[in-house]
Amino acid sequence: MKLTYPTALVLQALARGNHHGFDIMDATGLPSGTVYPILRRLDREGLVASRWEKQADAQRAQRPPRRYYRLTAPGEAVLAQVVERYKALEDVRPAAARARTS
Amino acid sequence: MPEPAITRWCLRLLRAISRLVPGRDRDAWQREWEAEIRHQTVTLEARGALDWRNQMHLLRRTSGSVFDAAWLRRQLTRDAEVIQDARESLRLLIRQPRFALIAILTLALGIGATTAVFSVVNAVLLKPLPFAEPERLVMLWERQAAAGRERDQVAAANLLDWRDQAQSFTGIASYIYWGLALTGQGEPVELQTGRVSPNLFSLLGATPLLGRTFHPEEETAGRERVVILSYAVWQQRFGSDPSIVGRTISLDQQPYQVVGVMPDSFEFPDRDTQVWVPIAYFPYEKTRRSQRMFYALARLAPGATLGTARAEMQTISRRLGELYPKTNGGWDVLVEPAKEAAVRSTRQALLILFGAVLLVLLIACANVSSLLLARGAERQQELAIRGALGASRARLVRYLLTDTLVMALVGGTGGLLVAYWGIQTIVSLDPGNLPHWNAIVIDGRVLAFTMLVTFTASLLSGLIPGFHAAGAQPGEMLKGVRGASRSITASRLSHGVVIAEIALSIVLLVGAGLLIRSFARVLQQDPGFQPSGLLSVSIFLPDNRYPNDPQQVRFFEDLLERLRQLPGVTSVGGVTTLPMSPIGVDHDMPFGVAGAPSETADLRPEADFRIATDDYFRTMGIALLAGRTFTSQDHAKGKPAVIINKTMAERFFPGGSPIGRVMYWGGGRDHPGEVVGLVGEVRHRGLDTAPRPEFYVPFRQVSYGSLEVVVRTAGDPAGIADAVKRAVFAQDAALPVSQIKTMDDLLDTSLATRRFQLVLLASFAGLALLLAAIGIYGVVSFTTSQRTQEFGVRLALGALPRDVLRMVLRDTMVRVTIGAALGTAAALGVSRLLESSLFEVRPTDPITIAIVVGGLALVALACSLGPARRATRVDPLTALRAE
Repeated sequence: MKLTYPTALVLQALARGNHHGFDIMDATGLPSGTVYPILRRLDREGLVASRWEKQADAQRAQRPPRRYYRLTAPGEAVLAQVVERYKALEDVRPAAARARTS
Repeated sequence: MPEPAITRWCLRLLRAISRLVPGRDRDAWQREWEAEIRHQTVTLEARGALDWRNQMHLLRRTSGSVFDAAWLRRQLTRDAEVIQDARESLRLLIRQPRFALIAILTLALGIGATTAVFSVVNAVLLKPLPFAEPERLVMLWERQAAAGRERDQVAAANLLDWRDQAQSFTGIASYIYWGLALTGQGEPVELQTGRVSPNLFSLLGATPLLGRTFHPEEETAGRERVVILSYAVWQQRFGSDPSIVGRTISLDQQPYQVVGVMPDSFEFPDRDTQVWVPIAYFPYEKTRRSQRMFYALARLAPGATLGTARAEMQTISRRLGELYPKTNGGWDVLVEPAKEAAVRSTRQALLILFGAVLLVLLIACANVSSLLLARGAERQQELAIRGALGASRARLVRYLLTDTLVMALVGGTGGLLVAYWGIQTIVSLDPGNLPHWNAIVIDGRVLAFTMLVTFTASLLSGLIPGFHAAGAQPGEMLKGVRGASRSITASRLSHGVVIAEIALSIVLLVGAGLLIRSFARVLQQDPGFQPSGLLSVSIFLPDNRYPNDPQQVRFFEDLLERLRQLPGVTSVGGVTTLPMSPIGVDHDMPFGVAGAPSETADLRPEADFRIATDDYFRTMGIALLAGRTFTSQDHAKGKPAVIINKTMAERFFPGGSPIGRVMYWGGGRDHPGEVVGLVGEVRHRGLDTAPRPEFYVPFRQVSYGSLEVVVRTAGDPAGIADAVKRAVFAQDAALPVSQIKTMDDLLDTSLATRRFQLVLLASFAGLALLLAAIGIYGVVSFTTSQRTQEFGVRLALGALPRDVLRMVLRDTMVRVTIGAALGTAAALGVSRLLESSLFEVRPTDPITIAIVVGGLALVALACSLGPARRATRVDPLTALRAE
């Protein structure tokens, strides 16, 4: 598959613990119209897998269950390749430092 | 708590956008986006940060979902298109059954033949030997480079020294092909025996099914009466008796204790081996360093490499050369990976076959390609409409490729059937040349290969027609203009394809032609004897019951006499090894001729050595050119006699008759002999092998416990096989008589390898010719139908039908000429690969090339005659009206 720079950013964000669509946007600074198609494509190619959050956890947070994305083993392998290619990926924020950007 | 207004707005917007999302994804899509929006607002609210800027940001993010929705929609369309295209292609194939049948059959044959040959390549060349860590197994050979001896077997004395000195191996095992007579289990039978060193099994990592393998001490004389049975023998001779281990059986009239049974999968050194006994070297084997008769197999020690092992063996062989200059000087050791040794003789032939079958596949693809080009022309309007309705060029190419892919998939499935059948045929034709350690089957790798071939075939055959047809200008096509320029391109492409087909076919046909001509040449060779009417039988006298010469001589004298008495038998003879037969004792013997330079030469010349009975030459029909054959006077106390063949006389007895001259054989002067007869030359090692210098000594003077007995009959030799068997049993009921064959059969078997390669290559060439013929017919039909109007105009303007006929045929012949020129050039290069399989025919044999090119031209002419005739019957008025 074609590995664009935004795709690399999304992979890196996932690797750094950002597991939900909006969190990935926050971490990468990419708009939703870019992040979601990338996630869909990665999903189709088997580089990420997704599941739904548990109902109980969602209820505690007073919202519906969110969709949770994670890197698969092939996804991690691909990430390793692109990290080599795009050195600037180091700038993607880890999940712990997550904050809303505007 | 009421929901903030921005959340409601965003959700409303989301619902609107969700209509874009395909139904199958819509629910999940909406749930995901809703959860994210709500999560965002809850988080912002909790932090007191839901200000207008963040609200606008959330709205922007939500509106971005339109791109997500559009992406999903596009995917759906793409998925649906693929299914739709496939369905369309199938429908089209069903609508044009003749086209479909030819295209699919062509692909099935191409893919099937390729898969079948690949299965063989996979089993023989790609899969490892079925032993533990097979890549660390090596064969050790003795080599005398100066004499051109690359791979000689090993002398036991040398092998024992290597075993003591070499550090590079965890072990060196030896083995030799042997025969033992099993008695006491019905009719005595000769068992193919592996005499092996006890460590062989552990070296291979092989474990027995029952019992144990050999212990190291069973290598010593007196302890070696133990035997391991193969699965087949255990089943067939001992009814799979589970308590067989520990039982004693009789081999060569000696008691042997069964210590184990090997599993069905264990075959070593070949699949015919029925039992294994330990090697306890005979005293003479341990000392004679020039008697190189054992095979040596070793396993590289941990840390050792092929390189270090070779270096070490060089050192050891140099040391032995210095210690024993007479027998070991000039000899060193070749260390060869076992896999390489096992496939050495078949690799090139297999790769040539694989190359040939790939050419067939290419021709098949070219054929389908030209069929598609022709059909593309018929489908121009359909494609134009699709184009006009907005299908991009890429979309059209995809559509057309789906078309070929569907065909290739159906063809590929059929190909697997063809492959299955092909494998059965190849295995049944194989005279035993193909290594057998891995069964030739369609396994995962072969299936993957077939898939790859199928996809490649569909790409190869679909790409050119696809791009060509998709390049149509919609306006032009829709107007119904017959797109003269496009038709011309299509015709050109078709012609290109035909040229390629002819060229490829020529390469294959020349290869097959060369093999056929070689085979014919081989059959024309005079074997040097009269094979028809001869029956042969191997007699092996066990040492323990016939320990001395007079007993052996007496046995054979009596047996020959007994056989002579059989009805229909005209004469009987015996020899240590028969021509064309792999059985028997056959080795080179050094000799010197008294009064000639060879008498005192350091390195004496060698000739093939045979022991023969009185009537051997008469029975075989070998010509006596001078002197006499052996008689009963050539007995142990008589004057030593020798008969030589013509090759030996010409080479070593120049000037004058050899009769009466004295020669010494066996090194030194211990064995003198007076040449009493000169006989014709025999092509001993096959019709395609030149006769070698050969000499015979009488069996009464040099007795030997094993002879191949030949019986000449007036009638059908196979008819007296039972009588011969009974005669042997009447003389000794414990002797096995298992190798009983007519000489014609032996001759036939000796040609089997050549025939195997020939049949396969000729089949592929025949297939190529058939495919090329179909291709030529298809293209000429297509191009002439494209020129209907042109012919109409010509006829209207006064051209005669025969002018049109000539025009069409001339066009075809132009392509044939170009294809033939290209093919001949390629064949001249490629046929050199066959050089080792050719006999008295050069790879550039002009007659073969001329016949092939001429034949192909005739086929092409015949294929274009039909379409050309149709062109002459064009009605000018109808043709012009169509315009």
